Amino acid sequence: MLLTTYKFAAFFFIIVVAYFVTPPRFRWIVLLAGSYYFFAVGGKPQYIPLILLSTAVTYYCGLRMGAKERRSGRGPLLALSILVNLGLLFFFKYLTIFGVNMDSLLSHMKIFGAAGEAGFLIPLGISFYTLQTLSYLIDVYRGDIEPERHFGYLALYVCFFPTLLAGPIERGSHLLPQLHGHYRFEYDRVTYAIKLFAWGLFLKIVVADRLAIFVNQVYGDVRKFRGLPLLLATIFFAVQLYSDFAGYTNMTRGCAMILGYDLLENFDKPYFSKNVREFWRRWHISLTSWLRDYLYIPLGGNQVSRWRVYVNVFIVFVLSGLWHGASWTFVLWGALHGLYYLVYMAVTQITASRRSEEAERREGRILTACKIVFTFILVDLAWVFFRANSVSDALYVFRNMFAFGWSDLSHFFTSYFQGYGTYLLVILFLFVVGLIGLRGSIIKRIGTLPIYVRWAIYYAFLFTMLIFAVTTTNQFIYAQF
Amino acid sequence: MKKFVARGFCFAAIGLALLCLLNFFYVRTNGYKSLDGVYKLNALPENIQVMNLGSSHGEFGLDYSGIVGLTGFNFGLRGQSPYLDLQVLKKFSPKLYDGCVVIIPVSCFSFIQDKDYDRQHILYYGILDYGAIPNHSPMEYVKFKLLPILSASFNAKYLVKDKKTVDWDLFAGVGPDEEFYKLNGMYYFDLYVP
Repeated sequence: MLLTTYKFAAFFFIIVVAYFVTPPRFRWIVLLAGSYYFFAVGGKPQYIPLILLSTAVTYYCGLRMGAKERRSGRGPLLALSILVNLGLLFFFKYLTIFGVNMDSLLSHMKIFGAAGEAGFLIPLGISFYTLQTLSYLIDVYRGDIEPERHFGYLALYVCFFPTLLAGPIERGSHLLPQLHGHYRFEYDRVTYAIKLFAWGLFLKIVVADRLAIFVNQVYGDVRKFRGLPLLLATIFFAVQLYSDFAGYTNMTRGCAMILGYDLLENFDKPYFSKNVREFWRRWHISLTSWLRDYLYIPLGGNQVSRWRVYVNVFIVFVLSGLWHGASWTFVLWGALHGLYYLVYMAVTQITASRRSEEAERREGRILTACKIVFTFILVDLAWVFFRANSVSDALYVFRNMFAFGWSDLSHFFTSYFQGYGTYLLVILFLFVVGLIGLRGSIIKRIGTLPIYVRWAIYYAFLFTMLIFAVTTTNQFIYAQF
Repeated sequence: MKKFVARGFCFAAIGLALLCLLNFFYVRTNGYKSLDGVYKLNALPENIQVMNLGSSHGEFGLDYSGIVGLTGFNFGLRGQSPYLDLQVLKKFSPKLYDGCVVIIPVSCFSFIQDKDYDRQHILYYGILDYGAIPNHSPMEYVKFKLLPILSASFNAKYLVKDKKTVDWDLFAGVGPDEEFYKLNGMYYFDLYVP
């Protein structure tokens, strides 16, 4: 069930009404029933036992770990729960990388009918809810949080429908206490949440889906193209991916906020980053912080030798790539970012003695802009691996995307500019909004304007969305991971 | 909650009124009237003696304007399948002269359109009755018949700067794929050869 469809709007309306008319101590039942319905309709109902198994193992191991006084006694339980949860993820997502035909395997196991009848599909949100269960288990193991004693709330934490499809990857310490809270229908909170949802919807159906028209055509069969279309599609993809994922995040945060829950932020204007390290602090924040806390730090973090730190960073980036999908393109994307990061670390270590932080803060706007553009170029080049259907396609794009001359450029500006102009206009609009957003939340700033100005802005925004939305429904990119 | 419902109702009511107003102006633009079939089939002559159906092949291949003394009309439309041919014929049969000659051009596309061109049916909300349109849906009816402004996309530019006359543009009001091919100077049908 896509968040951009009328079906979801109807589903969510029913959930909201049921949620607020139900006494607070029974609301978890409404949300849990809604979440399992969302899971079944969005994916396959056959997979419900799978998420129940994952929840049951997490609940049992969490409780047992909480009962153990010493950390050493919790180790085997943590290992068991990680084995089950990662095992399921590995089975459904990564077995294909070893050439196993999942269609025939699952039909043989009677999970589906005849081979190929249903078509293999990864359980909805498995990559996301697995990381959530792991963070909960590791936090309980470390003693950072108390284990959840109510099975219903833990089940809700695992499959809370706004986060199920593609995150944000929540933490037990952040979401579980909120799930126990009782929330009233507050005008200010609900209207802010609706605006957040609307902005997300705009990013998805006006920006991302429009850019997807161009990007999908080019990247669908890259060998039909050469030069400028490849370059433009690569630039457009960077904006498409951000709009798609940030749009999705805003929509889910808006949904959760209407119900009273505050989900983690996932983006902080990532394309305004001045270096790759900053980019990773601003892009998919919930995943980056997860990898830092549950992978990088346990590997030794920066408390080990310099070379070991480099190796750890590289491992984290490669695994981050692999998490996105069982494909070499994702591994190479992660490795390339790992390489960027290592180069950045090495360069800053060399120059650190020469430049003070104060000097960096005082650097001119032109230098800052150059750094932002350079970082964007690096990130965008890496997106080629992320988007290409195969490694050979990605290499083809790298070889041919700059194969154009002045005549192609003049042809572009004279003949095609009018057509491409619509895409460029969309990107320019997003850039301006991003610039304004650097000074604080635009939604909050609009909220301070007089009502007639505010409503005029809302109507202009609403009509732009209604008229310019792309009608073909596209799945969210990250929902496929 | 009361404040939310009251303000929400006001916002929706004013929004709907503004949308209807915008739609009112949009359907009167020459740009809108130039879109596929909207204008053409709303300006039919009486007692048609010869007509043709068919997809773009028929549409571009036949022209009755130079034949003196014969009332002919070209009903061909982009992506028109045999099923839609029949529905168009049924709908406009009262306009036909007794013994009218009906030409039905057939192309290789005719046999795949019912199955593969499932989005072509949206062109017919302005022409056929709701029930005669294959794969019809209430949302599409609102979007393509009641409030065409909602399907205008970049054709909304005609609200600001209209066409001087009503003409017909092959690529006006078409879907995202066609938009891409137009952009790159490619011909849409080249990519759909079975």
